[in-house]
Amino acid sequence: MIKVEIVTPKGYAYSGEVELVNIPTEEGEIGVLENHMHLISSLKPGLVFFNGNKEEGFFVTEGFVEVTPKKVNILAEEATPIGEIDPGEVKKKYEELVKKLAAAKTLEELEEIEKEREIYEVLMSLVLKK
Amino acid sequence: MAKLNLKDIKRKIQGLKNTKRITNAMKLIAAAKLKSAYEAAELARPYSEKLYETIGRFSHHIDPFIHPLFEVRTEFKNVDIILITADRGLCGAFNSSIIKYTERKLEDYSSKGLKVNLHIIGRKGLQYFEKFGKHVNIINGFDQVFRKTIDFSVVKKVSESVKERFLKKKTDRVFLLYNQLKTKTSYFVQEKIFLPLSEIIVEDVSENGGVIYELEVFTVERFIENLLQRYLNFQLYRAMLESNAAEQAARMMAMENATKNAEDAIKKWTHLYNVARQEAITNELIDIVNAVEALKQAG
Repeated sequence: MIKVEIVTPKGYAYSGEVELVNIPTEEGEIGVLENHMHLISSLKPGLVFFNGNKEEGFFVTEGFVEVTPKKVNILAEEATPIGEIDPGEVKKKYEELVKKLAAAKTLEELEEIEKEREIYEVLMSLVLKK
Repeated sequence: MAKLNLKDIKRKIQGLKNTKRITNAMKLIAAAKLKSAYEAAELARPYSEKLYETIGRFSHHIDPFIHPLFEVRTEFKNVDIILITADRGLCGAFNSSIIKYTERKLEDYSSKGLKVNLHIIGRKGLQYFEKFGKHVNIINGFDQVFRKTIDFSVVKKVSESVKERFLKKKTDRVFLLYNQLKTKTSYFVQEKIFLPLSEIIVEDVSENGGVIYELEVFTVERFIENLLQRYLNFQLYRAMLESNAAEQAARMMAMENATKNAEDAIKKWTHLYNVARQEAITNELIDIVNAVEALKQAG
């Protein structure tokens, strides 16, 4: 068993012990078991899930992950239980972002919207599959 | 005592009662806002602590002699201050005490020949320094920041701006000034060094210290930049959360005092009203008694 904590600026999103945790990082998805070697990496928007069960995962946005043999710390900007996400809302928001993207005037604005759009694209691929 | 007009006193009492009602309502609103602001500040704590610990454990991967954000400059000419005040007033000495503190610091620095630049978050501080600020340069000023939620884009703008200025040597040291809640009924001016980082981060050797991390990240440099930027952003964000909680507490206290004062004044004026009323009755009685006496004597 390995201890997992997901922390966001709004407090603890999850804290508990699991067999296996899958984490989306910049270099791809990693699966972490007990006695994993020390590792530190950037999070990528995606699904963190436990014991191979994708139904009970958390959708995380940007952040960091720190792995030690006994513990996994996930520091995410946002973490939402996947079950609490409304697919209809996500689709609506995504379409809004696409429209906004077309209307963006400055490069800065464009980059910001594009970043958010990418997050929603990943989110959409996760929730609309079901 | 000059004869007080009963009607005027009555009007005065009614006015005081209205004031009391308003201050009492503001007190209740502030109390409710304090609760949520306090919770938000509390909930942000674990994230902040973990971020700090992570950087602490990781910091030996960052060479302080190489990374520019850690550079301590012994000779400095420019100082930046990030000042956090409230957007609104009616909260006692909340804004004025931190503004005074900043003024003292400004005077102190300029007497030493240092140039001070301000980054102001919150309308009250901005208004004050735009109007009265001598030998001070306002670089960033943000109004209407403390709404229902705190505007994170302000956090990003300010922390990125001071970081850039520090890296370009436009400033040699950055301070952060804000009001911090001590208990739910008291607060104080907190001063922190924002940059350089070396004065904040102490390498944590006790737990996992000295462990070499497997770095999955292709570009370690980018990862470090990202980590440090996030740390700076969050440091500022948390200060704003703390300040917001302190503001609500200050307003609650100020409004409670105002309600109490109104109550005292109502008591005082009610007493005056009764005295004046009694006086009027007595006078009327005297008139009647006098008239009766006069009639008796005449009869």
